[in-house]
Amino acid sequence: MKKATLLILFVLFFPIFSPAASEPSGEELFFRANQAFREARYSEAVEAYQRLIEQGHASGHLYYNLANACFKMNRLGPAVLNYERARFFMPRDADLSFNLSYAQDRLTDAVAPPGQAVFPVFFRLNSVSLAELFRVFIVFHVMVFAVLLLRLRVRSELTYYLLSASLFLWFGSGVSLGLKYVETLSDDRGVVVAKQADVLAGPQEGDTVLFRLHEGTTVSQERFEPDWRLISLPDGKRGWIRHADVESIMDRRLRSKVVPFS
Amino acid sequence: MEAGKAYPRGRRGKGVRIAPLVLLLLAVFPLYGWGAASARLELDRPEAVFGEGVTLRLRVGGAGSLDSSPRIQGLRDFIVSEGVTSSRIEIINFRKNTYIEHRYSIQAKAPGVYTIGPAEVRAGSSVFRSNSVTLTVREVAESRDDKGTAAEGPVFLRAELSKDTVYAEEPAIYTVKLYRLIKVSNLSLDIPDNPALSFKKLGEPLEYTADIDGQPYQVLEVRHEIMPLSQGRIKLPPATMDMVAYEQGRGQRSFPFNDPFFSFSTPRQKSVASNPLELNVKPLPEEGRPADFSALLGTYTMESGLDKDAISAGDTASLTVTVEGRGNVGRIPNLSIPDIQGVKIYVDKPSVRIEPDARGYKGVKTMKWAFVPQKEGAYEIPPLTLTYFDTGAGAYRRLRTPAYTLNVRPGSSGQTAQQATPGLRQNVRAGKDKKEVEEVGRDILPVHSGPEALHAGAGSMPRPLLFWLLIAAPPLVYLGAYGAGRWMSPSREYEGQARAKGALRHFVKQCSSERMAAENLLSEVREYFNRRFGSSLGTLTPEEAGTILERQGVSTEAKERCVSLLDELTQRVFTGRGSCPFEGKSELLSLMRQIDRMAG
Repeated sequence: MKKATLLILFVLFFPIFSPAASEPSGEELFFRANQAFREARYSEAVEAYQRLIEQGHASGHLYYNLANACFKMNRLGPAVLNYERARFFMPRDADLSFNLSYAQDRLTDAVAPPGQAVFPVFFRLNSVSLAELFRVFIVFHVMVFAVLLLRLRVRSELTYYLLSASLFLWFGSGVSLGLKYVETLSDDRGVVVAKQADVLAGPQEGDTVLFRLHEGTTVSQERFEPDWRLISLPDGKRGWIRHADVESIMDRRLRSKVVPFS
Repeated sequence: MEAGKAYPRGRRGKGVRIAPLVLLLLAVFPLYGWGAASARLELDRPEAVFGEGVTLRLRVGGAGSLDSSPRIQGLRDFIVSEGVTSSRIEIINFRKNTYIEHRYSIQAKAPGVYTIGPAEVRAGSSVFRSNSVTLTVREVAESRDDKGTAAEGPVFLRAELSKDTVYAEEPAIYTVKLYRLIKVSNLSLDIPDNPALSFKKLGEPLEYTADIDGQPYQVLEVRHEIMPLSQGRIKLPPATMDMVAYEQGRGQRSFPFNDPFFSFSTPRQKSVASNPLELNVKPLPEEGRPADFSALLGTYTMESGLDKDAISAGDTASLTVTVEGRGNVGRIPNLSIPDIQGVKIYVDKPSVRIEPDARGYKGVKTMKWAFVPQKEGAYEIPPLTLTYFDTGAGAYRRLRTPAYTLNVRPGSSGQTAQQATPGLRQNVRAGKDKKEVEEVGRDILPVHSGPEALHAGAGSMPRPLLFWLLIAAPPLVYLGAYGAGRWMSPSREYEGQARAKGALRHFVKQCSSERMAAENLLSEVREYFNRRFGSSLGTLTPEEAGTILERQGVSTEAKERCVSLLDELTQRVFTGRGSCPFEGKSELLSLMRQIDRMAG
């Protein structure tokens, strides 16, 4: 009798303490987050999407969903920030472009987003991600060596022209990949996440307020001091802003995902 | 073509080359005449200190030449010295404009406010009248700095502000003047840096002469518009100017004739500093501040106009509102018109023109709306208002456009918003029964909930191991294949053996033709020897063949027979009968089979 009672108790309590119950799987958490979003429980959705990203599931869709949830909570700063992060993964996604454009329409500050550091050379670098460019490069990389392999046996005019074309494409995609890599690596943009932030003349409280920025404005970050960042706007305005008021678009987690070996 | 009628090549080419040039000249000059005639009077600056020279320019456009010197009114109180007269031709859009510019240097005989002009010029039977300009000449003591402008040596720098006290964000003019009696070069101006002020340069530097303490100083004037970004007393440290000054050394004289042209001055690096200044920045008064005040300061005017007050339904009427003024012109707001029931309103992108002149930056903002009424009736376009703070009067002002009534007649069927003014925001295909898509609401698009959303997919870079594998695999595969090919390919010796093995087969195959020419047969015999015995002979003589066969261990009888047949064949080829068949071909074939068996 005693043994049977113990067994029942064990069966009853075991699932509660099992690791599966305490730590939902990625799919489960994603389902819950989407459900919370649909039922307008946006803060729960934000929390769940953030957990998924922290667990290593970072993807363009997750950043996009997170941004949507932030937007619904009227937090335009984090919304723009995460839309921008999502663009690293899916730069041509129509939903993302629409939502980002809509979010930017609702911003207070009329500041154009900072331009890209590198101009497009062989490809329209804005509309392709680094990973996509890498895949294109790999295709031409394989093609070059395949044609070289072919030329070990067949040294014809056709293989000569094939090799020339492959080398040209290989070089073009390689240069584009390099430019995109440098551009992504040197992305110094940040987004104002505070509702309103004063930009001061120096990195000290009490310095003259030069201008005021509002949530969602994208700025270039030039330098970092403890608790302060030196930022600039495309029209040349510069100043120091409190560290907590701005978040870098390219944070460590995103960097590890989209820019390897950085 | 008949030779007599042909043009010399050079002449025709020249004619062809000249024709387009002549056509171009004809097209540019005679077809379009002069541009519109006009005369304009301009001062290099509207204010000057007593004793300073001011440049007055009279620009006459559209007149080929002037019959008489211009007559300018209002110069009685000035010492006038005529400067240069220049002419210029501009061709813009195939329209030729000729400008004649008269330049005068004028110096007021006493301080005061003067109106100069209009100027009159006569060209042929036409008389051109220009505009008038106003010049304010201040007393020296009225100068904004404490000390006024007093001579401080051969080179000195002075700074002044157009106003000592301004409101926050109200622009003022900061002027730095370099006075000099000597020659200077490599000028470099360093204006004071103050984070509480923003500086914007105003136009190009001015140069004129000023009489100070009876000495004619050359003055270089640089102007900046400054805008205070904070309130309180803002100090402006001295501006500094570095230069190379050519000062005459002591005891040196200009030789001969005491002419400065012959003076030997020594260049010396010099730096001069201006006087410091202080600007008092007041806050805007709270009293009377309108709720819709948009932080616009200065003096402004607003004009508006509706191009049509009666149209048919579906037609377009455009309202244009222009706001013009001076002050912090970048802050002129975009005005908005509330929705009007039954009228579609299309907003054009506002155009803004901000340009500097001697008094600061002036701005013009033009906003346009297109109204497309959907049905007949009388529609009222409500007035638009703009509030600003008048810095001159120290009070808030409100500008208002009049209300317009748009009378709309019934329109023809099918007339829709497509007929809106070109250039305005509309991009709808014309067509009966089509309607423009109306935006009823705005929201973001939904979340991505598919299972692929959890995977970065193509957006993520591959893991390092896969990355290096993809990079390194193709060259490694290639190098492997190349090495294997080298390792597995037969050696030269083996190749030679293979070639030797197939030599007879090749020879027999090539000699299968009944009517084979002797010269071809000789060539094939040479090829057989090269293949079979590893030689590389260009020609094969019977003696060489004998030597090779002897070395290969072929019997003497076979060798001699072969030499004899080859001798006969060679004779035939080199006596002009190489194209004829060789009778001994079948014997040669059987002999070759025998030799092939005997040879080592």
